[in-house]
Amino acid sequence: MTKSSAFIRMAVVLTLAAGTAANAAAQDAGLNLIRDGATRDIVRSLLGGALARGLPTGPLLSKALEGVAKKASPKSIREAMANLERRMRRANDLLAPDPTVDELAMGADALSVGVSEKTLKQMRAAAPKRSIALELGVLTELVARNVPPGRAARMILDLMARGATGVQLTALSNDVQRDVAAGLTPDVALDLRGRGIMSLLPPSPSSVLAQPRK
Amino acid sequence: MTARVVACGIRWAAAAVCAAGVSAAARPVGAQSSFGEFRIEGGAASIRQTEARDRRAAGLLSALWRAADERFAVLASGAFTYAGDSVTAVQGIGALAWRPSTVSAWRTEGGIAGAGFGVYSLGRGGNFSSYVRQRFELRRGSVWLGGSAGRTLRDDISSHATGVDAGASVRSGAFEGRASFARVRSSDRKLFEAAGILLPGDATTYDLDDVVVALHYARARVTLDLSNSWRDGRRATQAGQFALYGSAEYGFTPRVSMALSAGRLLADAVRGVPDVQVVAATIRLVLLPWHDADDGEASTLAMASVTPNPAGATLVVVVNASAEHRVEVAGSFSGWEPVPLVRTAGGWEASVALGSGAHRVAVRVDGGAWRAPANLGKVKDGFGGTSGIIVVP
Repeated sequence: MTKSSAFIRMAVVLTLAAGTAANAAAQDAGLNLIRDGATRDIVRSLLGGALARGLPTGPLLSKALEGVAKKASPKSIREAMANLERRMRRANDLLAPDPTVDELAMGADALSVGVSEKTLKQMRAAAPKRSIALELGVLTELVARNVPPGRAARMILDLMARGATGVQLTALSNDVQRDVAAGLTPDVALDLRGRGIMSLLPPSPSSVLAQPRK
Repeated sequence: MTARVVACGIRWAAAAVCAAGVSAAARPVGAQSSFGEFRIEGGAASIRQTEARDRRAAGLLSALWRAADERFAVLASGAFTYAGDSVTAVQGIGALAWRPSTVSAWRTEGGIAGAGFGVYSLGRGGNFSSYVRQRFELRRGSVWLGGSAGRTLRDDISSHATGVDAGASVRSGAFEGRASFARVRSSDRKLFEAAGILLPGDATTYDLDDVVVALHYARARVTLDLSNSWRDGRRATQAGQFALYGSAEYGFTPRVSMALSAGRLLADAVRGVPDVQVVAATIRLVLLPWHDADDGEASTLAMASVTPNPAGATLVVVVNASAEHRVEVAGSFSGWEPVPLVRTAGGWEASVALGSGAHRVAVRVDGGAWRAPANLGKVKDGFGGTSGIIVVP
């Protein structure tokens, strides 16, 4: 890895994070980091298709770069990107009417770990006017920490209904991890920590939901 | 030909197979996010029972499977031995190690072993043994306390034995030293006599005290083991024995290695096998995992911590690999460009700034497979592996 390519890669990351304005340039720069021509062509084709369907290309490009870093075959990279795009399309439907890029990426991740489609719909219904990307991310993180998807979904929905903040939600996930490391089962840890946060929240839910999260 | 020689063959098989078994069970259970291995081993040995004059040639074929994740390690193996004019000797071993959580220093280990053998002149025999051990991990080693029990049927005579043992190990670089004490109580007079242990009078049970000091060295392709045992008799038993046993293993590739071993193995009353002197050569072939990249990561543990700050969060990754390794972290935050960790007193460390949102992270050692840090939630990466997931508010 040369300094120039490292610089380009960092520029790609920063540009992707900055938003969609420079998306095309970042995409090209990212593609240039894929040295294998056949893989690069496959990735370019899939990104073009996603763009044509109105899907964000950032998560797909990141998945491709992950595959390249992990020395995956072009076929594996294509399959991984195709699966991610399919989940993003599904998340787009479930989180309608106007999901953000982050919501689509997080929604796709949530589906990949076993969160139900019904849950995504319920989460959108619980907060129709603000981004729920963080809630989706925390839900995914909890399930990835072996909390049963149904239990995790119910807890996140309860906390959303009570207006839990983003800091509280991420603290929940970290606390569950610590409790699991200390010997609790994931679902017991979730129950314990979730109750702790709920005890700090007001009981009335609906009026809070419509407001942007602080 | 006597059953003793068959038992010697079993003992040799046990020495080869159990060595791997014990090492797997003794491996820190949380050493990696997940681990699995299947291997076969074949070789030849020259075996002489301590009280006998003639040596017997023996052949061995064994298979071993072991797997581990953050909390559990399991092992199963089977071995087939042909020794001298014996018909067959087969042995099975199962072992389990468990700890209550991924960061707990306590680990419980247990296992069972059974063997059966058939001999032209004597018919069949067999033995069964089990052990349980509680271990406490220290920063550079461990201490343990355990017990064992076994029953043996030989020459139509049944005998039994029990044992307690305690020990400690310490690691320093590529070296690990171990010292243990064990007291064994057995009714197996025949075995003791075969081992050259003097039994002045008849008693219901006989006691033996064993002290074992062992040194283990592993670096790059070379693994060396050396142990010495001292035995003293108690309770109607007179014994003053010692035994030196050593082995050397060289890995030609990550999958193929050869081991040479020689020395004396004192009689094992719990498992019902006599005192033997062994010279052995074996070839080991690792069939699974298929990905060579998994090799070299077995003794590392990667942990990640996230500290929120006004700009997002700081991710700190710590890996406890030794100095000769090369450790890198990568993730969505770096466009999956590897970021090298820097050497610290305790291992390897990297600090990375994370923005708001979800991030994926993975760590690799010596250019091997990318793995999720042990304490993060893990998601499948779509390429046959996993990545850790981090959400920053």
